[in-house]
Amino acid sequence: MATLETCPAEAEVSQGYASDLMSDVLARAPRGSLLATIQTHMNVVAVAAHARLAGIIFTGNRRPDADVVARAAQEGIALYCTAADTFEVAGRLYALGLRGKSS
Amino acid sequence: MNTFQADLHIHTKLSPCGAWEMTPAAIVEHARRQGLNAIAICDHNAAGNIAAVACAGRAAGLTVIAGIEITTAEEIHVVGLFPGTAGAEAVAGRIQASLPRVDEAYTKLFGEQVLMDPAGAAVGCETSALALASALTLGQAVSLIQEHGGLAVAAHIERPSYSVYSQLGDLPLDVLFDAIEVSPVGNRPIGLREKFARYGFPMIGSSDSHYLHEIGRARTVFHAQSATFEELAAAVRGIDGRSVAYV
Repeated sequence: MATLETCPAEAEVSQGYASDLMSDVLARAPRGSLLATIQTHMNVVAVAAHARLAGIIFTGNRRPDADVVARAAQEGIALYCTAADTFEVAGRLYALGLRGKSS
Repeated sequence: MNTFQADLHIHTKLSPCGAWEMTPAAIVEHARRQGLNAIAICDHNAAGNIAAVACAGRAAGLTVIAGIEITTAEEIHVVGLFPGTAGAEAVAGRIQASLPRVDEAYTKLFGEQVLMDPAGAAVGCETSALALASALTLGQAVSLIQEHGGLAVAAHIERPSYSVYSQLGDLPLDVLFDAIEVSPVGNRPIGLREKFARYGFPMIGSSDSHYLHEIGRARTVFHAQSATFEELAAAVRGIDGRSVAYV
């Protein structure tokens, strides 16, 4: 998994969330969690900042534009991208000990 | 100046989810019965039935505005309203270049995409998979519409699917919509309409009809000199005392 030119997540992360609908992320993503999504629009960073997420993993080989990366650096949100799809990423993070809101 | 009533988001059977009863003649007849002065035909990623509805509209004295409902890469619906059929068709061509072709399984799942003559007889089928998302981003779709002289409208802004709100959580500050569209009364979650009103974009109301009985259930009332696209566009922009509102 590649880290984009932002900053690595500093705080320890214990929760994850996966969704492509930012209205859903706003309503349900746990504070301080890592978000896995295929949505690369600028608003994902704005939503992540508002929901106080630690970082965003862009899955399925999708890369955000440079202005999205710059905004995330400003907001202190770590960005990652990977060729693995969202299901695969969620499984790997779960195996590493991250949990969803419901468990 | 006069006051006109318009329903600026109506599908025909060219949209796979549109009902078979959405023929050009029937749409025009129902719009007239609802007391509408103007309608816009906005099929998903397509413009192939606009000319037939416009023809039926001319015979009945109803203004028919050329439109399209684009599905962007983010799965957001954006309505484009154009000065003429040519603009809508050019935009449809660009959108369809990024869509796969239909096959039997697609048609079974999503429905048929029927091109009709003004009376409603089938004259062909659209072969691009209109129900799917195009490759254009939200920003690209809005620019494409505006490059063709059109008004770019954020469709059914408060709906829980395929809206700017559902997909992106909020209106992006760098996308300059000409207007935002609200849905019929029963489909409006409380508070969201008010939230979006604060951005200061002109707000219009449209039915997003897929069935005849839905036509006119949400409307745009515009104050202008005539019921034409040019006067509607001037009303959206608030030129010389013209105005738009939704009911």
